[in-house]
Amino acid sequence: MDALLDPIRGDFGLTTLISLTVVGAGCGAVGVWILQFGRAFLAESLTHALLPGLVAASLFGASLVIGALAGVLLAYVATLAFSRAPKTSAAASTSVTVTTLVAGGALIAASSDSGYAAFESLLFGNPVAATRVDLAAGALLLAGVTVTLWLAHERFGALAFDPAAAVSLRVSVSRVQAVLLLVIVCAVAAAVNVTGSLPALALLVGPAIAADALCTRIGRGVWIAALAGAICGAGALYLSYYADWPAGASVAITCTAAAAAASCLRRTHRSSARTGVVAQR
Amino acid sequence: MQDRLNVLVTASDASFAYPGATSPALRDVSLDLPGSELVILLGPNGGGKTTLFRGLTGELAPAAGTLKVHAPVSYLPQHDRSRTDFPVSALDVTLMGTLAERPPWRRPGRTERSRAREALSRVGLADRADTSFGELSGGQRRRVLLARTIVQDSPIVLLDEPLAGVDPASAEVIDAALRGLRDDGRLVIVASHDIEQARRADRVVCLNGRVVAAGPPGDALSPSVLQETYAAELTLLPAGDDAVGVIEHHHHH
Repeated sequence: MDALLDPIRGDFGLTTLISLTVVGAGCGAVGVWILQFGRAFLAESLTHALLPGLVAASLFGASLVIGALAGVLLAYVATLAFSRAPKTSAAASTSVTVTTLVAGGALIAASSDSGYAAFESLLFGNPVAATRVDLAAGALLLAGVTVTLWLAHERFGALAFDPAAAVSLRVSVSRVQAVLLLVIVCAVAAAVNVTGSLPALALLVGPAIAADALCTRIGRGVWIAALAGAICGAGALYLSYYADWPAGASVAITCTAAAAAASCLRRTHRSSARTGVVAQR
Repeated sequence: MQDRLNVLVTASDASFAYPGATSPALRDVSLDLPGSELVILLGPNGGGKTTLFRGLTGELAPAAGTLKVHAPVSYLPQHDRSRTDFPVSALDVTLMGTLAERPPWRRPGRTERSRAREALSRVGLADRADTSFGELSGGQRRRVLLARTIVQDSPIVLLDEPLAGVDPASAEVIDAALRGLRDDGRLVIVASHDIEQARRADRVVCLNGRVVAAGPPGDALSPSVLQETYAAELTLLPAGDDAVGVIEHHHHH
């Protein structure tokens, strides 16, 4: 019992466990739609593009969530500007934007003595450092994300399944895509706030890959991904405590392990099913 | 008079052009299509079948003339655009047809589920309702998408080559389901290359950049009309009083 309780004793232990679990669950659920719509590159870009906003918020003592949202706005405007260059694809303009914004974050960090430590913490994560205001703002964002996911579930499914029939089904493609983008942005902002930008991507993608490997129905997949995300988030705290590894790296490891384990399980299941058919013959 | 009241689609000298194109893809379309009819659009690739569908769904406005669609439209596009790796059952896909009737916060209830199961039953898949969409055969998947269209309950149903690439058993079931929709009072418009299917329709519209002929199959499927519709793509073989057309087209699925 002590082994379970030790990591959450102290001033920040329980708060960190709750925030990692809640953020993990929210990111897991959003991650399912990121995979289904093929938006992993967008999510990765967003986690990096937020850095200037986050670093500035950190240096000026503002809420990281507000910094993250400002970073998204900046990324959007920059992508739009780059995409207007002749013969520039969306992927190319996003890549240029992300690279520029990461460099911008590093430059802002370099302008202050404490900036580089803040930059590193935002990049690789320091869940214990998140303030209660940040955690409350993140929880509010994720509550909004959960309600939106519930309301948009069927329309997301119809569009992801058969984009050509969406208009006939009276599903507004532009509205659904805008809602999806908003949900991804909010999830990224909430996750980056707790885990840092690189591990946030692992939380968004790892549990969703695990759920995708295990589920044959999208509704169940969202629940399983949320559960897997919560377990990965909580598991990361214990891994970090007992292995004495950085928290951000622990998040990435638990998420990757969940995805790999589920994929192996599915492969084993398929392989045994094939063996069964051969045996019947 | 009754027929005029029941007209669901009215086109008067309508022409359709894609943005940037110098000439219209389809011109001079004049049609009155009532409910309770099975209409086959016949024509070569690029002849204007899909363009007319885009006009009917509201995706493409007429560049000239008028097109009036007096009732909601449901559209079944080519099946290869739906994803076989998406984790849904045949029933889930069919239920997507009820999306427009419900606010986002209301999940499908007993009524919607019962309607979806009935639609699956009409396409001969009542026993496959819980099967994953990706595990069904190509013909069965096509039938599930037709069930989704049936559930939509729109008075006008557009189907883009619903029999292309499906097995004979599925083709027979789909053909019967289309007649069932027509008997329910709907206007069913099918884009097809199948002259035999066109012979069994109530009305045939032959397209080749314009309406070459429109009317009952007996009038619209004469050898001269078919020759004009398909031009070099058609080889006519004599078969008694009629002619059998062999279409040489390259279709991608």
